[in-house]
Order: sequence, then C-alpha cells, then structure tokens
Amino acid sequence: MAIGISYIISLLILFGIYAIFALGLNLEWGFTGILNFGHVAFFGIGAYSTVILNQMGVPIYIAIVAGIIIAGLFGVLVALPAMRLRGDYFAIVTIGFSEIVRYFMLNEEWLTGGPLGLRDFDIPLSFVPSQYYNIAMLILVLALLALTYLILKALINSPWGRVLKSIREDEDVSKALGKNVFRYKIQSIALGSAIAGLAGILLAFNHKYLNPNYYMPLITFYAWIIVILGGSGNNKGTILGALIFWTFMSLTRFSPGYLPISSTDLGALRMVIIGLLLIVLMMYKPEGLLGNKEELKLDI
Amino acid sequence: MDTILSVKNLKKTFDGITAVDGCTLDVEKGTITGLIGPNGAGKTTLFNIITGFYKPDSGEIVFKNKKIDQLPTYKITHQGLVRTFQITKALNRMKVIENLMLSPKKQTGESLIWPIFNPKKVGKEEEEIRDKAMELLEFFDLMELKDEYAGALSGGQKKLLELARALMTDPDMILLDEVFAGVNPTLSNKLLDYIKELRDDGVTFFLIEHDIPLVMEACQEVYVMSEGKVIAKGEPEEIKNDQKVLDAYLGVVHEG
Ligand SMILES: Nc1ncnc2c1ncn2[C@@H]1O[C@H](COP(=O)(O)OP(=O)(O)OP(=O)(O)O)[C@@H](O)[C@H]1O
Ligand SMILES: [Mg+2]
Repeated sequence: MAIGISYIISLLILFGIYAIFALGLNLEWGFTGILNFGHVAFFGIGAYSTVILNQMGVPIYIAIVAGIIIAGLFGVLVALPAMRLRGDYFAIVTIGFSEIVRYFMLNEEWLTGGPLGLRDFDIPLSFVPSQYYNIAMLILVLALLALTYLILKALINSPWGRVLKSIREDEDVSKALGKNVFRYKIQSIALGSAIAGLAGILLAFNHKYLNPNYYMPLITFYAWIIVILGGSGNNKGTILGALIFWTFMSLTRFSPGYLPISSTDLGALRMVIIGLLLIVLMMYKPEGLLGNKEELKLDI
Repeated sequence: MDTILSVKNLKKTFDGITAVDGCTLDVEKGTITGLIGPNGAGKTTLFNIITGFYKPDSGEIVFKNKKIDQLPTYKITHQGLVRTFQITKALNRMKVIENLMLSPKKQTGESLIWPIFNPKKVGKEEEEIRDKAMELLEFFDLMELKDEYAGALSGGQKKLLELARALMTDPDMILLDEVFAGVNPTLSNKLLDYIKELRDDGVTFFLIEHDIPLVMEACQEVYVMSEGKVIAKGEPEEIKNDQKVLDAYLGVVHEG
C-alpha cells in the first residue's frame, strides 16, 4: 500500500502530541475540576517561545525547556487573578485569553511573524538522515508521552494528587482540612499548561513551521473531546481517546475522493459526526471509554 | 481553667438577615462544651465564622491566645482548630481511606516536588498515615468499607467519616456540627465515650446538638443561642430549667 507506513507514522505522531496536550487538560479538569477552555493558548505559547528564543540564538534544547517553563508561567499569570472567579466565569476568561494570544500572534509581526508565521528554526534530531526523520520524531514523541504519563501517574497517586482530587470533589473540605486550595489550583494549571507547552513545541517541530491558525479555540475542544471520550480523571483513557480521535480525523481526511462532498463541507461534517458520537457515548457510557462507572453513579 | 477559644461581639449579616448578632462566648480548654438553640439561631453560621469560611462584619475571635478572625480557613486548621459540616461533605469519588489520609498536616508528599524526587520518604510517611487511618476506621466500624467510594456510604457512615477525617488532623479543638444526628444509638454512645477519652487527653470539643439528653450527658457547660445571640450559659441542669431557654425553644418573643 502506498499510503502505508509513512501515513501511519504521521498519524501516530499527531496522536502522541495530542495525547500529551490532553493529559495536561485532564490534570486540570479530570483531577482538579478546573474548567479551562483556553488550553490551546499554552500550546501556542510553548511553541512560539521556543522558536523565537531559538531564532534569537538560544540553543534548541535549552529553548525547549524555556518554552515549557514559559507556558507554565503564563498559566500562573492567567490563573492568579482569574482563579478567584467561579468555575464558569473562569472558563470564559480562559477562552478570552486564548483568543488574545492568537490575535497577538497575528498582529505583532516584529515578534511572531504575523499571519505568515515563523519558519527556519533548529529542529532536534536533525542528525537523523531524512528518510528516517519521521520515525525518529515518532520515537521522541512517544518517549515524551510515556515520560509525561509516568510523572503524572506518580503525582496523581501521591498526597499531592490526593489534595487535587479533594478540591475536585469539594474544596470546602480541602480548606477545612488545612489545604491551601488556591495554591494547589495554581500548581495544577501551571503543570497542565507546561504540558500543553511541550505538546505545542513538538507540533512545531513536526510541521517545521508555526502559524497563528494552528491555535484556534477549536483545538482546545479537541482536547476536551479526547478527555471526555476516554473518561475524565483517567490518564489511560485520555491516551486511548487521543488515539481514537486522531484515527477518526485521519480516516475522514482521506475520503474526499470517495465522497461527493467538498473538503470544507467535510471538515464541518467531521465535527458533526464527532458531536453525534459524543452524544451517543454520553447516553450509553457517560463515564467515557475507560472511566469508572462506580464513580459516576455517585454524582447523582 | 484556661480559655482556648474566645469569641467577642461577633456580628454577621447576610443581605438583611442578621445571622449572628453580637455573639460572645468562651470555651475552656479540655472540656466538651455544648451549643444549642432553635433552628436558624445562627449556630452553624457561628462555626462558619470561627473557621474562616465567612469573615465577620465585626467582632473578634481568639484561639490559643492568637487572633484568628482574619485568617483563611486552612491556616486556622493549621493552628489546631478543625470543624465538621452539618450537611456532610464526603469526598464522593475518593475512597474512604483516601478521605482520611488527606487530613494530616504538613505531609511531605503534598508538594509538587517530593513525590518525584523523594518517593521513598513520601512512601514511608504514607505508611504511617495509613496506619493511623486504619486505627480510626477500625474504631468507627468503617474498616470493611475502606476501599469503597465515600459517596457510597450511608448518611450515618458519612458523619462518622467526617469526624474521623477531622480527628486525622490531630486537632487541639474540634467544632462538631450535629455530628450525632443520624448515627445509631449504639454507635452514638461509643462515639461519645471516644470523645470523652480524647477530652481526657486534652482535646477540646465544642458541639452543636439538638439531642438534649445527649448534651446533658456529654457537656460540662452549655451555651444557648437564639436569634444570633447567646441567651444563656451554664451547666446542663441549670440550662434545662432556664425560662429564657424554654421560651426560645417555644418561640416566645421577648419584649425590649
Ligand atoms: N450564606 C448565607 N446566606 C444567607 N443567609 C444565611 C446564610 N447562612 C445562614 N443564613 C441565615 O442565617 C440564619 C442562621 O442560620 P444557621 O444555619 O446559622 O442556623 P442554625 O442555628 O445552624 O440552625 P439549624 O439548627 O437549623 O442548623 C438563618 O436565617 C439562615 O437562613
Ligand atoms: Mg446548623
């Protein structure tokens, strides 16, 4: 098959990147109960920071670490004033913030290249011969996915994760038991945003190009779809959700030849189908694919 | 005796309703002190203010010789003053054992760094915390439920879980808001014995309770609240025969 291996590799790279991205959201929503509708902002901030720093002469590996940290710091910056708001208001602030970030990328050409975006930056693994580059990229992405998963697993199962879960359940209890709820929420956002930043940086390397259009609010909702599909509060579920989501996205991307439908219509149709599938999922398996049914019953 | 908690002239108004209206009281260290009063008297609101869930409009709260009325809740808990909720707040989607293990103060593993960089120390501490939690579960007859989700417990079991969770913080003083309501009499008695035992070890209890015989049996001193004010204070026997108290419960309005 002509599309065979290289197609599957590029699909798996996207899967890995979005799995990391969604793990960051799952930390915030699934484990802490924070409603973040602007997750994509940190995806973009990580990518732009790394690329801009690299173009200013910072070695790429240092720029990567800096990009992750900057994304985390911006998470803190948004959360510090906004976290005192009620959950739904916080969500609106975050979606606004993500649009501000995108408009900044579009308009501040001196820094971000504006609508044309940025290219010409160093890419890790550039020593790999080009015919193997994609597979090396895949290995890097999957290794970072595994690392993110393992770090999160250790944290979620630790007393730190226990405090986050208590905040998700009822923050009055956390406070009454002596936990500084505000600080933990900030930490959760900081880490979630740093993880989003890492995913964004990987996506920049994959495309070898940055463009403000990659950071539409829709991308945040990709992460939400992935988290809900797999079952919120379940990191394995999130990874499975990302796999299913990108398999679906790529399969439907291929079809124009077979279907009597334009590609813009197809894009809209895909979202309609995903919406319908989610509704069906919520009807028959509201806890998500790997979510815990027992847990869900308790909400009623 | 020493006063551990002292409340002076506390006031709190919610758009028009004065829930606590110049409340003044002292709780002696190492006692079980009762707080009774008709529904809506402001008892729960008083607890909410003492534990920092609400800021008072005016007045002063001193705990262990330290002003606490401007502190956030978590810092008040760190001072050794902890409360339970009248309407139980189980952490539903957490296991019973996790509910208890959450409580202890200053856990090393509660930082973002140590679970990753010193899992050994965190693990060892977890063992100790688990052991302590198991003791309490055993006592409260919750051992068999330790791996159940807290949301699956009955109302009475949730009350016990709340009390056990509060005890896990190792407090000097506990505010109990109707913790006996909905607990069966056998367990209620056992609970009371346990509370007395803790009192003998120096823990102070301040408890809101509608079950008057239980208050009589448990408390050395009782405060009676009505319409946001303390209207009587004394030994249970005195209180029982106080005309003002009887009137308050029967809804008689006083002139002037
Ligand atoms: N957050 C709030 N907002 C508005 N009103 C409140 C609030 N909290 C309490 N109140 C009002 O304050 C008054 C005192 O209520 P509180 O719950 O303290 O009474 P209580 O003595 O605990 O009664 P009960 O024995 O029924 O539990 C009531 O009129 C109540 O409606
Ligand atoms: Mg009450």
